[in-house]
Amino acid sequence: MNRRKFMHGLVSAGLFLTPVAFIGLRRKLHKKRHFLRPPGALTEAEFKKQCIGCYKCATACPNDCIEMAGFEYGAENVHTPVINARNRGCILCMRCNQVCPTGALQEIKPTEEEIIKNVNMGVAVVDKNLCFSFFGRTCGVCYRACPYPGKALTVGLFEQPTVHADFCTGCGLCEQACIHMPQAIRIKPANQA
Amino acid sequence: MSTQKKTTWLKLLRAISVLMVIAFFVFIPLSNKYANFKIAYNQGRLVELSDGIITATIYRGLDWFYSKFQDPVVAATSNNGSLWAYTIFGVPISDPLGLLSEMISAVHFPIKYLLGGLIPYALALLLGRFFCGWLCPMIAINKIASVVRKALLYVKMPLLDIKLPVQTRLFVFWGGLILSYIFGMWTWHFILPYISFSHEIFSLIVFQSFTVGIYFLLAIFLLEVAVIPGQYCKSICPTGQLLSWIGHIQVFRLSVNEADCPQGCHDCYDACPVDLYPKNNQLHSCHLCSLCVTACPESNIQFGISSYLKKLGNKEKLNSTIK
Repeated sequence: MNRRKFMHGLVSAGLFLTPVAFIGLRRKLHKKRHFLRPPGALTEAEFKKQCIGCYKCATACPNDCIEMAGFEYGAENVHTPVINARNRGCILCMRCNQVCPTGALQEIKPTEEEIIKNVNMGVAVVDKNLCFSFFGRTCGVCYRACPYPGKALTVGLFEQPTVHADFCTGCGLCEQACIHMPQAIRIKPANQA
Repeated sequence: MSTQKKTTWLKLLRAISVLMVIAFFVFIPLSNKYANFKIAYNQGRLVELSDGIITATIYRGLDWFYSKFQDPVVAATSNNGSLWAYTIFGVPISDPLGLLSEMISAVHFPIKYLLGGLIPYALALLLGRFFCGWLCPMIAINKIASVVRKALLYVKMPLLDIKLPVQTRLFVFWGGLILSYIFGMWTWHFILPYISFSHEIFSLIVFQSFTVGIYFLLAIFLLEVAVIPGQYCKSICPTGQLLSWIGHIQVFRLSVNEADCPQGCHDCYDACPVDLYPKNNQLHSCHLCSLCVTACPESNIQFGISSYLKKLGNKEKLNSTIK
């Protein structure tokens, strides 16, 4: 085997192995990450296909809660919009899906009924072992942060929160507000359910 | 005398147009921030108290600008996006390459996005690779890289100068299309410096940090300095490939009076950044950067629609002779 042939073999092997390595890598990275997509997003697979990473939603967001992902969210999510609810929750203004050029974020009217009906970023989950209210220390911060108190989140004795999944949009304002560290109330993202 | 004046004007115009584009990258996120402040405070003094004097100054400037519109908030929020897909005062403009990538990867034809492609396509039909020569922020990066390279060569650093064949960009183009079909997502994002540039400026202003694009931008810059000076635009950029395909007819192009050319002169060839030969009318995938116009000692090279008509006439002649 001469040198030329060897180089050819090396190049073709590389061309074959690169996609295999890429797929393996993305599977490994995928399972670790938990994040929300902006309101009105399609299902995860479809969203990833249609999103072009144009940053329009991020420029439009008045709350600056939409971040553009780097490699920390996995190689396949680079330059796609994510919401990290602990840093900043979504205020449900529905500006991001008005400006989306490709329809990766479906347009939703900014009225209460439409938002409750169509926005499904995730569902809040209360960890009773962490929440202060379940130990007799009245807190109720998440109830006050909730955009639809009494519907999505109700409180009982000592302001113990109960989440109603039908109304919960998964905006993450409760997670942002929670005074316990780590958070006693968290959003379980719809895209990784 | 008159040619000297004309050439300096052309250089200045080109610099101004690139700087305008970069200023626009800064303007978009700032105008969105302005809209937020306008809704929240609606007064310069309150912005100054909450976010400091610099933000307040920017706010006041933009308020002066946007108060001329009927509804400042609507006008400010009608500007958004990055170079991949812009909306400028309500007019959508999308990257032709992005459009292609979207259609291939998602098999999906969104009307908003397709409409945005009209303006760039029309411009490319009229002016060919006008974008590459006058608007792309890569021009600024190239300029800085060439200055750095000159300085490094002056202190006798051993730098490479590899010439890539023009066909490389065909591989990049088709490879990118196939990869975006396999993975179901765009793949060119990383290697396009103008996209990364607009993303980085946006995230610097809004999040005070860089995204991953900065690594690719740095890599391209270092390659331009040390390995392939001036070769990116010529033989790698897939947008350039697409634009030169669309702009094959290119109505508005350079024209050369070959008859008046002095013998043995190839100043236009030396000046051309993409190794074309204007003297022989080899002007396919011309950037219209006007460097050859500057270089020509006889001022034989001119912009105009005339050479297109001449080309058409030639074609008719050829056809008639064949018949």
